[in-house]
Amino acid sequence: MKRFASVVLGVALLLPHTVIAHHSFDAEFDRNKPVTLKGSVTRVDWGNPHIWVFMDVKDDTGKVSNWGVEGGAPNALFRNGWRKDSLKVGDIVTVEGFRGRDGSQRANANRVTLPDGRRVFAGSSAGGQ
Amino acid sequence: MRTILAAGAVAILALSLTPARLTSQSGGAAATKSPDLKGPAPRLANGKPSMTGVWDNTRRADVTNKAIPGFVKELPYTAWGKAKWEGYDNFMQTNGDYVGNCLPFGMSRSIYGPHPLQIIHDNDHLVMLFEQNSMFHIVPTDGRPFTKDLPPSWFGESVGRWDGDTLVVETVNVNGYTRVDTIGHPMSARARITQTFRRVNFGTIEHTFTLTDPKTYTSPWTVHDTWALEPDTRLLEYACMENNRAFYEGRIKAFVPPDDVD
Repeated sequence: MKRFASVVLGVALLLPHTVIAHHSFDAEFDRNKPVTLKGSVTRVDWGNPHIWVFMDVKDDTGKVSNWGVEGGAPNALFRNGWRKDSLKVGDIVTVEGFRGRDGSQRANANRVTLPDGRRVFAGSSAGGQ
Repeated sequence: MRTILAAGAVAILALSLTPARLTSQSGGAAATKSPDLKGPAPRLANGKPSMTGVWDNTRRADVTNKAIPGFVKELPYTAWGKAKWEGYDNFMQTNGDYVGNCLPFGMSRSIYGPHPLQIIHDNDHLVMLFEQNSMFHIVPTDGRPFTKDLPPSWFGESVGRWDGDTLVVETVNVNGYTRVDTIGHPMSARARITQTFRRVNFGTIEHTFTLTDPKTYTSPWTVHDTWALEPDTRLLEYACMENNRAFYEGRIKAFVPPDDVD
């Protein structure tokens, strides 16, 4: 966990445009549609080519809906200090990223703020161009 | 008889020692101490430099990106190449996206991808193990020619030869489906890729990538890289289809091979 803190913070600060893309970001997401999501993690799919984190997010009217958030490749995230259990079901997290092109409740994660307040790089491929 | 037995014993001893020596040179898991990265390049049994190791190959999403040393200043497009570049569907909704389909990245996108490369090298072969999609590519260095009538493939066929202490790898017979880099610079099935590998010390390879592709570019162009050995890195499995939701939920379309790359 110590490694996570130091290494991931370093990545977040030093490599804001790091590309961990396996396909073009633009094929699925819209860099002109930034989004911030705060909610409770409901599922984590840790697998290549991208991890997916699902979370229940409450909108302004109090309605809860489930969002799917794509992160980086697990191999790269692992080397940056992430572990399979870095995000757990029930964790309250804030994701900063970009919405899907199709307007659905999907996003690509650039930063994730963890329950303990650390804001870490999530492997977004938005810098891929 | 005694002579033959003795010779056989020496041969067996030599064979049994060779892998151990290569393992210790690789600085891999079996190494008991950190290698001297500034020390001399390790050598193969034939005396040539060994490229063995896990390498931090330079990430280039765009070979013309001026922020990364060794970039290409200008790509000399032919009319066909220019049309392919300007007509590239960045959103990949027309022909699908081969990498989004978990198809092979080919040589240049594997070399310049975001994941590490391991090289295993002996007298007769150099084997590239790409973490990206867990792909491998074997380069014979035993003097054999290219295979006659081999069908084109994603990575093409490679052979290697020595120019002094520089290993020169030539690759032909690619299918022309891959792009040069993530941003989508074009290449065709007529491409010839020439790579050079020079292990300047234990911890460093100087690598060049030259693309000769008369259908796409009016003259060859070259990228220059410096790779650092990563003695503590192990390649991980990359099962690309395992969690490829974008593809199997239909947001990335099925790949359709281009029909104008020959």
